[in-house]
Amino acid sequence: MDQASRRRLHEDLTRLADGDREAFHPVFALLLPLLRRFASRSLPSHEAEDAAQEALVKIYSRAHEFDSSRDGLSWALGITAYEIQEALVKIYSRAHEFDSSRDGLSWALGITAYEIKTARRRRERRREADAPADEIEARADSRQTPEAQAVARDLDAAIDAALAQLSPSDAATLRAYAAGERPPDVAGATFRKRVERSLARLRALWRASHGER
Amino acid sequence: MANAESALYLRARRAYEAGRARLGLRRAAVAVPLLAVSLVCCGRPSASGTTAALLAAAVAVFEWRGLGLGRGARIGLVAGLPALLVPILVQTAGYACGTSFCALYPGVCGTAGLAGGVLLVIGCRRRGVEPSGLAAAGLVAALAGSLGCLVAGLPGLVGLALGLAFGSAPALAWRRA
Repeated sequence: MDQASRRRLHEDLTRLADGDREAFHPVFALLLPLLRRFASRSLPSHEAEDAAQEALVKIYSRAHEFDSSRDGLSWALGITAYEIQEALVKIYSRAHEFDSSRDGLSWALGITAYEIKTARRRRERRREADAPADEIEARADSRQTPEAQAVARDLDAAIDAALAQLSPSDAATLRAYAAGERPPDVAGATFRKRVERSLARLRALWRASHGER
Repeated sequence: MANAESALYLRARRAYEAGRARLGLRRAAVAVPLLAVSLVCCGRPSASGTTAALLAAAVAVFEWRGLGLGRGARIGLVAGLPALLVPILVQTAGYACGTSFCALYPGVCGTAGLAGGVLLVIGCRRRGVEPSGLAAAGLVAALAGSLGCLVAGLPGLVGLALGLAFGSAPALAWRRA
């Protein structure tokens, strides 16, 4: 999006927040294709469309909360990112359906989070205090095909390698995030910001070593 | 626009209007503490309740519509505060009238209304509110102020109305000039 469109979106969102219905259509026309593109970077086409639509409705529902001192585009994309995250959680439950046209990093992080949660649930059921890491890994979802499991293993290894290149604090933040945990001494907003920054660094490393996908 | 996009457009429109309605209701909740003050100090529960309900409805509708009306409602709430609080402060300070007609409270309401009228015009000028917003601000200020001026009954309300009118008229005339 060029600077002029970005400024126009900001102005239109400001007008919408003030109750100016005339700004409704320009925002719709500007945001819908943008949100579709944004969502399709992380999600397969069907889920991307759903996430973009949900995000758009949420943006309108919360339009009155828009603070004009903030950047309109960032605000809109922030809401969309949340919707994408929600969609990814749904997708993680079908992780074996890996499609190479999707963003590998998001997909692999999703599988990792899903596996960790599954392993934790099983450990809790068996009342095992300290299950070794390789044992948890061995409990991969049996519904996956051998091919998908092999792809997932490769991606997990690549993720581990990328995590190893990050600073210890970034790696710890992402591991906690993948496990669905947050350090008790860190506020929610601070933790989300750290996750965002750590993910950005991880993405940069990933792209440097694996390209865009 | 394709069918799917039209449906999405309508859905977004409904979500937007619902969001604005929620905003209106949230802002209208300001009438609740004002009602509580009025109930405690004025001793006219039915009049206080009716005025507070009208105030809440006006704020909710103006905030839902937004633009100048929304800004006007916010300015009106601020402009109505002197007329709401000053008579009540005078009463709690121990001044009371024993005769059949007492000029103190209508006078206080008139003076507070005058201050409110000036505040109203200054607020509207500073925020570039158009005439419809000014009217909304006046209505909200009158309703908010009435919750306090009820302590003086009808004379208090008349004093408030005159005060608001005289407070805002010179500034309005100057604005037109």
